[in-house]
Amino acid sequence: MSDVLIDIRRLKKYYPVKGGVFRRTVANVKAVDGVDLKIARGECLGLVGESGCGKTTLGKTILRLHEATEGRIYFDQPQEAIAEVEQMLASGQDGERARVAARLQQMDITRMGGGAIRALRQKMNIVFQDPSNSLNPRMLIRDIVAEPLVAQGLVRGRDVERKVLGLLEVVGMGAGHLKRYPHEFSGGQRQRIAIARALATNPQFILMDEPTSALDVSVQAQILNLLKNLQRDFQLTYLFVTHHLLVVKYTSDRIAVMYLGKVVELSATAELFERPLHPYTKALLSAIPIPDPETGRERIILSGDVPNPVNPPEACRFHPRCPYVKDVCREVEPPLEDVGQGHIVACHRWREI
Amino acid sequence: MEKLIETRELYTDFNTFEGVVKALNGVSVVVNEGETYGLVGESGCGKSVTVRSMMRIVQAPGRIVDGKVVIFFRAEDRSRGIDILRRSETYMTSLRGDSISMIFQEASTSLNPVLSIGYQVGESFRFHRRTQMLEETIQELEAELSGSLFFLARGWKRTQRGLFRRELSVLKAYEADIDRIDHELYALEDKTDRDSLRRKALLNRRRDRLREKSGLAELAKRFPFLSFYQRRLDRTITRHVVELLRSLGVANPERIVDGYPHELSGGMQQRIVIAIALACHPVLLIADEPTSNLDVTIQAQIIDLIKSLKESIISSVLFITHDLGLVAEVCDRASVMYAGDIAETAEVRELFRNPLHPYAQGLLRSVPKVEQVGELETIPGSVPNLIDPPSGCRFHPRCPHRMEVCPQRKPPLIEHSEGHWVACYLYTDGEQ
Amino acid sequence: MSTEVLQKPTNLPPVTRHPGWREFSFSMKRLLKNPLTIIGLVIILFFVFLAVFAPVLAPPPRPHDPFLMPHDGWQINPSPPSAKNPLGTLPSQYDILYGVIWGTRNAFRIGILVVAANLAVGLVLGSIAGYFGGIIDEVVMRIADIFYAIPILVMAMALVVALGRGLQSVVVVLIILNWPTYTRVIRSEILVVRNMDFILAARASGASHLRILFRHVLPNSIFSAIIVASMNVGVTVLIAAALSFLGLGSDTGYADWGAMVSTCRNFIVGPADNRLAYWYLVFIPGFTIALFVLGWNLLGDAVRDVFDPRMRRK
Repeated sequence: MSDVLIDIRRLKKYYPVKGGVFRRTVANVKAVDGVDLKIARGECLGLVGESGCGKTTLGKTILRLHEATEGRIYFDQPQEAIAEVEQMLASGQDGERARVAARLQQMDITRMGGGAIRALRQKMNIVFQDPSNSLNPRMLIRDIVAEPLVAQGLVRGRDVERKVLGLLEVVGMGAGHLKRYPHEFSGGQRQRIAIARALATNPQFILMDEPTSALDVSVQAQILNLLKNLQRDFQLTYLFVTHHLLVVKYTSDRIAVMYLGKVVELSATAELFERPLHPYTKALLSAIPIPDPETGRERIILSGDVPNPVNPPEACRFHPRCPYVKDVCREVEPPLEDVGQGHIVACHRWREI
Repeated sequence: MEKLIETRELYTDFNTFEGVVKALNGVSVVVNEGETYGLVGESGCGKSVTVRSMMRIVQAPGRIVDGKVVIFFRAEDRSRGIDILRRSETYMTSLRGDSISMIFQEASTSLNPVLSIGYQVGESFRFHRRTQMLEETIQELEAELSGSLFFLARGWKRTQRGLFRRELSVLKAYEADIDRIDHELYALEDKTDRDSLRRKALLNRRRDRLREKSGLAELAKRFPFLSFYQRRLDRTITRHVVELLRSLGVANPERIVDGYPHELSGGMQQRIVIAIALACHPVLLIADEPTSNLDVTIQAQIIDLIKSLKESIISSVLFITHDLGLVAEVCDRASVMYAGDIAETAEVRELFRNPLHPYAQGLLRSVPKVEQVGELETIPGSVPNLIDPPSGCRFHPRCPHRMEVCPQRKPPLIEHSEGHWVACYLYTDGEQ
Repeated sequence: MSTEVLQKPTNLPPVTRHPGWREFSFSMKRLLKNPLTIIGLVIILFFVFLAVFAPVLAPPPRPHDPFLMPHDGWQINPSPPSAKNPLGTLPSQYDILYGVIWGTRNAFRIGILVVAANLAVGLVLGSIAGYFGGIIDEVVMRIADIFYAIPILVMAMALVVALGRGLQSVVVVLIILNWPTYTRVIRSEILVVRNMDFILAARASGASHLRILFRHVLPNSIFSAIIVASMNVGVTVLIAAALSFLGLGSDTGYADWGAMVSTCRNFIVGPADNRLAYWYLVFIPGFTIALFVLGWNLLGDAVRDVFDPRMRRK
């Protein structure tokens, strides 16, 4: 079994903007624009960024809820096999192409066919942000939680109710809740139901799309603790997408920071907070309101607005707002550099600032 | 510090289909001059309802059933204050946007999508500062008329000046009448005997019914073609709007005033909303979760803006939020609310260092911090249903320190130490 | 584990009645609080009573075809209400009372048949257009647009020529007339529901498109269509009556409200000295139609009040 559960290579997801009389593509919303990321088995990787950075799109593309425009997402494949396929792709020989395509169909989430996708659904699931929207208001809780099992034909008849009961108990709810509708529950309880549903097929990977952003503070604490414990008890792998840096600090082992469709920094959690290297990360960290009136923190206030992913700036995407911008930033796109101990950053000037 | 606005034992109910929601259960809040006051709590605790009751904009089926909201805005009112719950609606209208302003959570829904930004920001000037605008316009016209002009232009400007002058005099007469009524009402403020109450009711009704005595100018205003000349006034107003926007850090204000809200980003829209709120230099700014929907970096910009404005334009800010980090950053004093009650009130540093109420303690422990050690602590149970709230102290079902007396009677808000108030029987030492 | 600290909410009793029933009875209680609903309900029930007990209330002279109205004599001029004909007669002495009672059955038939068929077509086409989108959506919508443009009378006359006179032509015309409306309504609801998170959740859980459509999308988008349907029954009957009046429906002597008025064309205005001599010819069938439509409209309003999720609960 490989250490790396999900290996993302040069992923791109563009949304075409159609215009003109003949509805031709005039521009592209570059939601995800070339992302390389590895998610290790059993870890919780946090993905942070503001609106328009592409973190939600990235997550949903991993789950094949969106079709990728380019790139590969390898799920649960040994590193040697991936390296082989990548090399074949890079060499670009014609004879290889058919073989590469066939292999990719097995290994790459973005190219899998119907049967492989169905098998994939058992291994992956998602918890959404707004629990009032993510549960079908006309279905009973029992049916909602059983959905993955029934839809994939994994359990039948009487076993369904037993299994659902087991799942509800794991998330802290009970038998009295089975035959009720979602609107009879509070936000925190609904999120628990959503979590129970995500766990139904015993998946390996769960995408958490801002699971606590719509909840109250005290409920958020309950849900975060629950998620942590579930990860430990069921050996789950999480991709925790959020904009709230303190929440992601509490839950994640590593954190990736995204800006306008690209990853700008990635490191272990503690390291990111102690030694943020990218200017955007620094600004983000200084902008979080800290619940401690004693901190005399220096704030970096960025000028301008969060830009539009339709026309991202040239070269380094952050350069219009960067307080440390130099000429090189406007001309050359900074590559992702490894700084040591798994800390990567994409900035020309990280050594100086 | 001087008191600016205060609520005393405010009770507000909502008459819904399922029953009566007892949203506010005797809320007492004091905001002083020159301070930023935070109102913290989770959803459903009643913080929005509190400020809406203070501004008297509670939506049906809500009703303020008891209590007082007292303001101390003018120097003469220092000692006694004015209970605005007992005043007429026209009085409230003159307060809102002028002395007390409010900004809301969703900037995009606070702005009218079919009106230009210049028009919307100008509304405050147009309504509250009309006298000043008219006087300025007249002055400008005088200055222009003293120079040499083509005779048609001269005639037109003289007509405009004449119409504006008439309007101004009518307006001034109206304001004088209002002032007289208000003066008498203030004199009767504390009197509660039957005759006084009747007189006050009469005066309030009269204030509502008073209309500017119709003059030619008034008539002219109402006809679409004849109100042409008002454009001159609009120009003056737009000048003020542009200045205001520039002072708030909006780039290219001349272009923006002709534009529409949907052309702007979320952060910029919130700035426009703030501009509308601050146009008349209010004494109190109420901000109801103004940054909850914004990105973190934009939130930082807006908070920075509000902080800097507090130095220059506004006196006090009443800041509602559920984010304890914002409270720590922005506020001087804060109240923690739970299920329609004030649980604790203190200076912010004191509150974070030494929370007394079990709910405040639980809340502070359940927020992830930078140096988080171990698991987040949680408060067991969930927020109660306000149609059938727990008896006595509304927090008692979830309280780890629950005592026998807690379900019996609501604990009073007592001053535990200087400026630090708490509503909990743990600190009453048996006194009732 | 902190989950142990969260006690199972003790205020939720074990569910005794089926939850669907709970919701339904709650809606019913809300419905019955509105006096207009009750009036509507009473009117419809009254007509149901007439329809069900028609053989008892107005025994058919020709049992093999009860819709042929009896006529006592061949006199052309209609007779006013009398002991023999409590509501009067039509020209050629057809009994109005009989026509009204048996016409109720036809009215129900037309109304319900047309609306049910429209709903079915609308559901199928609307779901396909709304859920799959893209070119299928475009095609279906353009076809609907074309149907919207066809003038109803021309269509009706053409169909009568093709299918012959009688109520079946009217029914077909009405189905053709109205299906685009239902398709559009359902499609627009589906466009909204399609983007909701729980649909994505179902996809992430491995549900097939068909399952999502039937289990998730349709149950949430059907309500607007039901509201439109309930309000449309009345209008349908009205249009059917109008078509019958123009002669495109059934023959003389057939118990159908519109046809009844149609036969009275020459007698709507009486002789010069007594213009209102034949008031009962227009008034009685006309009033019956109006009452029927009113009942359905009130009921439709009530249904909308209950099912409209945007209704504020005061």
